[in-house]
Amino acid sequence: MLTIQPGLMIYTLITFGVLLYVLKRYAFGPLQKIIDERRNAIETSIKAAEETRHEADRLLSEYRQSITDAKNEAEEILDRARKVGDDQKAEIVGEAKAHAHKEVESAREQIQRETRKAVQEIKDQVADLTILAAGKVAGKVITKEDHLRLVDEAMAEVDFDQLGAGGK
Amino acid sequence: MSAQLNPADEFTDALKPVDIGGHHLEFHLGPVDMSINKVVLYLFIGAALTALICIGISKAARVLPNRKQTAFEGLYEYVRDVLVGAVMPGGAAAAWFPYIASLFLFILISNIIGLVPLPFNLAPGFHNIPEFKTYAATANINVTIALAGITFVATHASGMRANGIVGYFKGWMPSTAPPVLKQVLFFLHGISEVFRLVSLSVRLFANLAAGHLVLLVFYAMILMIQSYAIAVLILPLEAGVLMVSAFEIFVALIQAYIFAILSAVYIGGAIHQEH
Repeated sequence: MLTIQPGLMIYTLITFGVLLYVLKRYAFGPLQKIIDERRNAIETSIKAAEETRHEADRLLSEYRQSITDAKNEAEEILDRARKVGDDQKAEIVGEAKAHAHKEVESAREQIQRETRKAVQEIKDQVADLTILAAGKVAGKVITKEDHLRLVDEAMAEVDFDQLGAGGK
Repeated sequence: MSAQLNPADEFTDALKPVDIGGHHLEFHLGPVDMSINKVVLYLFIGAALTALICIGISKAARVLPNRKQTAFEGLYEYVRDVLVGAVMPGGAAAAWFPYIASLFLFILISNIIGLVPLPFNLAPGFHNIPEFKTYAATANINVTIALAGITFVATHASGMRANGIVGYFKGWMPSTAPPVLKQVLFFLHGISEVFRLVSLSVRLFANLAAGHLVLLVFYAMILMIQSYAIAVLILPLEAGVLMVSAFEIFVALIQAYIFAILSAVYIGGAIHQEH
């Protein structure tokens, strides 16, 4: 059991030396290579996943931005349309008012014109009647010049403005 | 099978040259006995089995591992990161990993083989039925001395390469020690280095040899009590064999672990000296 045998030691050294070489060359090397390959594969996958995530984040923020932009634009368009609508409304109303005013003015002018015409007609008729009546009453013929003078005097006493106002 | 089974004989028998296929494998190289005996055969079997298992697993290794590969890779990474990586600086760990791993696996598998009864001799006069016996190469002091010797040489060689010959031996003396004590400390350190070799080899050999002796003693007691009448009485002995065998599996693992990690610690310590 405790006998020292150099031959055994030599066998041990040779056996272990060969085993060490074989294991290093054919077992540990390939296995380490596989482990390294796996680590690389995992690293690549993680990197790819991270890149994809970044890309997704970027796209998401891009989409968010474009949605916000679209919303803003839509609001702007709405605002503009509203403003245009308001402007048009104001213009139409203004035009309508102006038109109405013009109509009213022209109506008023026409009325005044008609009134003046009517007054002139009345004046003429009154003059004629007065001449007739005065002639009958006075029994004398008054010259045309006298008549006109008398009529004018009488007319001056009549307030035609009030008549005009009443015919409005 | 004989009633005269002497457990100690098993160890001396192992040193006798074996006969394989009618050839008596006794060789001499000058004064050195280079005969193929049971110890050498067990060495070969251990190495071959270690190589077969490791190469088989690494050949079948894929990037996507199966269960067997995962288990082996676990062992591989354990040796790489815990046994070697934890006690050696980075570069040295990568360089020395194959040695430590081979040492661990070879000792472990040799120890385990020692628990499996193998047929080497034909039972004398028993109808040529093979006689199954257990033996472990690591239960021989010559084997463990040789393995410890590799670690011993590796320790000092790597220490000298990393620190220079003078620097390495200077590292044996603490720089803070008084000059008078330095020589004494150097001498003591030298002794401790030699005893590391002794303790490393004797620890493995003694543990394995003792385990086998205990098992053999149980076997011998079973054989000595050659009576069917007391078959019931030998049941505790059989239970004893079972228990000791179970314990020996644990010893096989722990001794391989101790031998490997101490080798790593010694080599790592020599490379990275503490001043």
